[in-house]
Amino acid sequence: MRNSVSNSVTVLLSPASMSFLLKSGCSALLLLFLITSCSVPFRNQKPLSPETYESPVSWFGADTGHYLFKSAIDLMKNHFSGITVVKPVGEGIFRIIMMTETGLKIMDLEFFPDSLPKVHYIMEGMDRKILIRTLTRDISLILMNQLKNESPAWYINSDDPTVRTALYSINKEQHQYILKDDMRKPSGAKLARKNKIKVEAEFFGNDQCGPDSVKLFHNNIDLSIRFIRIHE
Amino acid sequence: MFIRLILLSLLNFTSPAVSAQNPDRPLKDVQSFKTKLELMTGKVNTIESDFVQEKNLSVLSNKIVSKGHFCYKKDNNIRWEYLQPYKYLIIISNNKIFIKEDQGQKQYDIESNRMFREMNNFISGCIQGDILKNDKDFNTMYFENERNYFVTLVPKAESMRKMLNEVQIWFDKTDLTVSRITMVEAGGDYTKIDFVNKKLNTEIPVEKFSFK
Repeated sequence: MRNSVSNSVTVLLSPASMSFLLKSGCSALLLLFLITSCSVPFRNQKPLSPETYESPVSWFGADTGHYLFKSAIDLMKNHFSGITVVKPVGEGIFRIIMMTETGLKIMDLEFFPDSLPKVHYIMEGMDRKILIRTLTRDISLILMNQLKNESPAWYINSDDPTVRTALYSINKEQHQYILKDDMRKPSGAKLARKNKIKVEAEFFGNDQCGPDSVKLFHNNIDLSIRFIRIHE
Repeated sequence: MFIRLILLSLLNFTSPAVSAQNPDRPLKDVQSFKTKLELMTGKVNTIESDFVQEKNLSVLSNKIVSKGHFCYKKDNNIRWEYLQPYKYLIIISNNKIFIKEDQGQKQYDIESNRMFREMNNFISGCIQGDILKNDKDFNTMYFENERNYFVTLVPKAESMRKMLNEVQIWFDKTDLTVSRITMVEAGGDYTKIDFVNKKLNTEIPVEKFSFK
């Protein structure tokens, strides 16, 4: 995570205080979205034939029950922590529920392969379009729920041929998934718009136990999200 | 009011799913119960208890269970510690609140922050029974069975009910301590916290409430 714990107001997560913090955070977020940008998306990459590899697969397989994570969101100087449930409910369909440590639900979202996420519930104060759009886009990058009917373009790293990238173009955005060796589950992901990498994510885990942790951060705004698996 | 409900969630929840266990006999002499509760809280200097928190989500077939330890010492020293499956600690003492988690720790002045002030008032109000006097924010109903007094708090504000339909507090008839709290959400999901292995008036070292 790039950010340290700052205003650890998560406590018992007062919606009132969270509402205030989020409102102030959202305004700054919007401003930063408008005035900043970032880096170069593709460097030292050689294209490969499209059929070279099988498509990458999500860490969150539809054949599993559910995943439980300790989660933390750092937005500007605000820190929110809690628990997140990732429940695959079908091919490319996921239910994501975030709540406080004490069990109070913060948001309940459902992701689909070919339509916008559905907001089942979001706590008052967090129901800001820009925040919902940003969070759902970030989570979607991690879930890989929009890739079901897509075939990626493949690239290989010129400096390290064991590293390859699957590139998907979705809604004027490029979703890149970095894969090492023969793994079909990515070790990293990037979201680029207009040739600028906006969001990066890292996955940690293995095939046997699934994901251990996921870290995601924005390059153009001070926003990072971290999920650390809770083994029940 | 939000804060109060969240704090209630700290203590325990139940829902329609557990309604079969709910006492359904209305309490006839509410004033007598309130008086007894006030007398009891006057005699209690410390409370120590384990707790088991269950989060029930309709999308999951099994519950999310976390466990921990709770300590209270007069006046207004509270330690709320999650031990399984993750560690998370909240201490309220000397007008300060301290939070410790994997990513770090932080402390705040209660008086400098309305939220913390309300939180502190709520917790002590719950322990001392003052929460039941809050007619402004909740419609309160009283029930009983052989073992428990059972109070339901229904938020009056519609905005609040979008988040929480009802908060239920169970008092053990033997010692009038809180034995369960349930918070029922609008969609039917709920969180339940059971207090077990309760000990009253034991010696709790002051270090339990120090920040380090």
